[in-house]
Amino acid sequence: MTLVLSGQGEKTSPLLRAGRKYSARLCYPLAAAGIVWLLLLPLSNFWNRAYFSENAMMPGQVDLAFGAQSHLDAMASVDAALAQPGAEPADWPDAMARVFSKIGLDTEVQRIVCDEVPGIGSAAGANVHGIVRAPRSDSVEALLVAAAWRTADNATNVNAVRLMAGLAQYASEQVHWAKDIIFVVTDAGEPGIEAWLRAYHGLPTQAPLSVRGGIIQAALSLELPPARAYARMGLFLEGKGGQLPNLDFVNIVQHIARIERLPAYIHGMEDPPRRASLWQRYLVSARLLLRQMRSQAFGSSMGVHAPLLRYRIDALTVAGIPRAGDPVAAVAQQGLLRDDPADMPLPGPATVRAIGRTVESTLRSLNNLLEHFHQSFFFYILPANQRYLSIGDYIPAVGLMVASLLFQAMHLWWMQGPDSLRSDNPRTRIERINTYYALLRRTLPSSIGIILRAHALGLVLLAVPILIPPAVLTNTTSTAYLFTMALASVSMVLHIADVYWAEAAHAAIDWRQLKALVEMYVAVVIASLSVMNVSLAVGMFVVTGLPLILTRMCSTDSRLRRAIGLALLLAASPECTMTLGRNVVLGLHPLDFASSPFRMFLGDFHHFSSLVYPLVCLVYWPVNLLCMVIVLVP
Amino acid sequence: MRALLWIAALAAAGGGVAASAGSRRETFSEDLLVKPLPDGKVLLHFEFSVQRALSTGIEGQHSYRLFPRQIGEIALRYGVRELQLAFTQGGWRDKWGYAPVASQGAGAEILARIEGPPEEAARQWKGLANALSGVFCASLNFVGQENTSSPRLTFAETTNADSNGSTSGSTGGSTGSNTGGSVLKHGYLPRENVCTENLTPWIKQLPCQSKSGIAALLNPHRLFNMHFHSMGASLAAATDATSGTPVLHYKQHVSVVLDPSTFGLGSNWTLGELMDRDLAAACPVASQSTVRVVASRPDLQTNSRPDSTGQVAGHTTHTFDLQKRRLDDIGLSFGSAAGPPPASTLPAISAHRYVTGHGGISGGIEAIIVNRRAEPVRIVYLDVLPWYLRVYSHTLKVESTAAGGRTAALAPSRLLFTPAVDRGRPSSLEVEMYLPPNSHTTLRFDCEKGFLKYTEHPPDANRGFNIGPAIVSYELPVADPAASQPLFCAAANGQAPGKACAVRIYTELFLASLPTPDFSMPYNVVSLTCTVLALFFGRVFNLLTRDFAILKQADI
Repeated sequence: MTLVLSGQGEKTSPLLRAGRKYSARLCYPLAAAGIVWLLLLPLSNFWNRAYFSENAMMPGQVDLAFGAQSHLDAMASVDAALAQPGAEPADWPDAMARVFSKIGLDTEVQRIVCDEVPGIGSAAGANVHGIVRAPRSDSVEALLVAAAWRTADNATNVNAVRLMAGLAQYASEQVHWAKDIIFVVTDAGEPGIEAWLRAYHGLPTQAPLSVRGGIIQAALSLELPPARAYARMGLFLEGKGGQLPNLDFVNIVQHIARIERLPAYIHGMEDPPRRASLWQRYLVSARLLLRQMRSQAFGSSMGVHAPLLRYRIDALTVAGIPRAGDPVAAVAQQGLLRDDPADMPLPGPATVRAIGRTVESTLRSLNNLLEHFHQSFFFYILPANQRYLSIGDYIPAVGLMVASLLFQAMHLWWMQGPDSLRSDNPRTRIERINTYYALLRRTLPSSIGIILRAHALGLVLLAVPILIPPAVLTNTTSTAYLFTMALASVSMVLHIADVYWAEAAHAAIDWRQLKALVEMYVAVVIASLSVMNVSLAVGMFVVTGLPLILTRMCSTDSRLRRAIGLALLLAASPECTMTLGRNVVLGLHPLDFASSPFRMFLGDFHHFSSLVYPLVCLVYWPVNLLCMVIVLVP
Repeated sequence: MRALLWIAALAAAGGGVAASAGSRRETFSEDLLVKPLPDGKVLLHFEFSVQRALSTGIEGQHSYRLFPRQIGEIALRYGVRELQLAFTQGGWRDKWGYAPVASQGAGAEILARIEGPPEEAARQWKGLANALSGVFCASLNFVGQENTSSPRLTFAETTNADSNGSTSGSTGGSTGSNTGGSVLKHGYLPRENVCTENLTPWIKQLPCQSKSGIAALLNPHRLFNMHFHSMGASLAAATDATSGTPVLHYKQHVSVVLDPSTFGLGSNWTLGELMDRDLAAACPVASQSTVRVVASRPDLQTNSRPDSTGQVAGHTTHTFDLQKRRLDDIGLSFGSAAGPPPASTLPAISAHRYVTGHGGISGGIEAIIVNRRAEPVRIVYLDVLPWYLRVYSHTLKVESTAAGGRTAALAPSRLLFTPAVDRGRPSSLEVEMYLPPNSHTTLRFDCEKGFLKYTEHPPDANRGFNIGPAIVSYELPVADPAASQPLFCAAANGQAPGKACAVRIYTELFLASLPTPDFSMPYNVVSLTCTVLALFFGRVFNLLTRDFAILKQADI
């Protein structure tokens, strides 16, 4: 079995010769196969049933004690503290600190300054946290229960804070805890929790914490919008960088919630009814998968748990979803409720009891953990409740997509050079190839030069928010930023094309070589990204890899064809996709220009080191520019 | 015949003399201190002391009556001049005031001064740890060279205890570890659990065990359902103040913080109800048997009149003498839980230590030390880290925020760093510095996590390793007996004022989570290698070595 790759093409194995003959056309079926593989995932034939890997957790097997009078009194004391005369929402953190101290927790208020992007939208906030110390334990581990004062949909979250006070009272009465329990309330949403985490882990920060505990093993975040009763609960899993909590954690919360008769569904989506047709079930599952891929790829705001996952803390958000005709929820959604806790009573006692017992049972199960979650999957995707697809089920799709890029790159690398090189006589072919190699040695540096130049432009775009003083950036809206980007890109392409068109006679640059190099580079990026954040890798392939494969797939002799190609590529460029695809990324109307994905990505990059913005600047945009160059080069 | 009678008479007389001499040579006293804490919990501190005169002659050396034989023989065999052993569970909270025991870090701690040549000291130390492990049914045999250190500044030698036995440290904190030919060894096991298995042999060492005296209250069901528990023993050589003879002092203590509401008791309970045992008569061989109730809260009332009243550490103390009368029970009652503790009862120095960073590669340690006194205090910060946390001592930074809010760098006056040897010894960092008055001091340094061999990981590899606490030691001037101070500093018998008391604070433990390898790899490698060998070995071997030779017809 000798596989010898020789430049002259002699003495090759039959496998290689067949590959060469068909590689020209092989990449398109491979890319299609990758996409079809993904489209097949919503079919129930491929799903696995969820199970518990970690036997120590024993979910739902403890006697629950939440609901005693002392816990309800603690919940009522939150209302009393928040409704102090003259208290406004800015005083609420200190009021919660008093409530926690009265229960007997170690409490601290952390004052933070959070900015949306460096220097833009500076706001002051406060985090308050209280720690229930485990009585007989050595305080080396902790569990976290977090809530923000407002939910991700900007509804008020006072119910969750009340429930936390009740849980804190319950936790301080028990003697069986092996880990400390930390209750955190933040009024700055996800950046607020990120600031708290930075201080808790001792990273350099301007608001250090002095009351801390041990390593946080797992965390729960609560979001309970105002309502009279909840129909079901939603579980939100994805973190800011596409990390997911361990599948065991998701499974036990779903199991416990089902026992307490307030079921928890992934992203709040119920399973289709039993009588639904195959097509309807496919659609429901496809919608759930797309929602998960969207939040995993872009890190859209999904709950306060998201920053925790970067610190290797398994976390998820439990959100209550009100019933369809709920009167309180309807009023709240129209924004007609004041910021007064008296206007927002707790949900009915059955609901409060169910949620309280769910959280209590989850905490007891987490208390049993001896180690971090490590038994079950970290890479998975959930097509339906109680079902999962592990990485081995979906990563071949990405492998096929990457293979299609690589095959086309291989084909182009072999086929580079004008058609005049090819001839049936091997000896003439060898002579011509040898002369052409000398030529190639001159064009390779220019190809690489073009690639580096495009990326340097991307680097400038990446560095602009960091280098330019915030005062200058404050007045720039993101839309103007994007149009600037568009103008710059078009002008650069025209400049490059101009330069090289003038040297068209010497054929200083070979589009095949350039395309092969870019394809290999994009294949490596997508492959390595797929092990970190597979949704982002698939997204990158769709916006970067597909246009790359399809660029110049037919000959571009006429100017019309070139113009059409350029127009299509402009439509696929980051400016257009982010401007017009707002509703995909953020769920907004396409023509709502007030908020933009660009700003969201920039904010995420600044706070959470999320990779989307660097990828857009350093891979997506330069590759788009290079595609345009490829189209324009003769 | 007459010679036989003479010998018998002499033997009897000698025995009688020895017996009476023995009874003169050993004294035993027991004491229980009950102190209600500001947040409704109660501290119970049991102390049992045996004092034994060291005899130079051979006939009394191996005869023990009240002193536990195990301890005496172990001390003799391993050349131990001073020993402190403590098993602790739970954490001591600052709001409860000063800790009643010197050693309050979670886990097991052994501290010993071993006499003899230093090259023998390691062997003696190992033997001592194993012997104590057998005596107390604890896994102290894990104390080895990997978790033993010899700090030079932190542990002051306890010398010249007076007759009551309260150990007061001398001001010679800077004496080296090798004083007078003895080596100080300190071993810490942060993951050691304390349970009834350790308590039972500990009780067996008491002269009356748990049959009479204060030890009758030791009920494991209550003692281990607590918020803080420290059980230990300490052995020290001293000089009796009255007679000037060398004595050996063995003190056993149990300190426990209980919450009466855990057992369903309100604000009105008796000791018998709290411990679910009956208070028996005093131990017959005890020379002193007392129960002292500290009136730390103004609304405290006892149900019977105390025999005497005194002052301990700034609080009024009611003493009940169990030898004078038989008590049925001692009851206490007070009002509802008071508010936060007054600032004057908080300890002078508090220390907390946390681990920083969140990856599997590197991290750091950050210690926060608070000085609540209005004058500078000299402290020694000791941190012993195992070899797999590689300390970068050049990154050590100390900053202090004084009362005015200004933060400035603080230069340590002495820095002793012993680097670790992989799988040999831990790294040990001792920093001596003077804390400014009313200040928060932050001490931080970076470390990197080492990669262990896959056989060195414990069964719960993803949990991480418990790392022992840092020890901050300082001297508390006890000039004013009415000031708040630790219990072991306060002398019941008129200690000379002006002496300082050596106090140690133990910080929290932390978990160092090290990167774990893929434990399934040995299986994968074995199966892959065996498959390849099974399938291809024969073919490749034949290809390499088989040779065909043509034989002529005639040779067959």
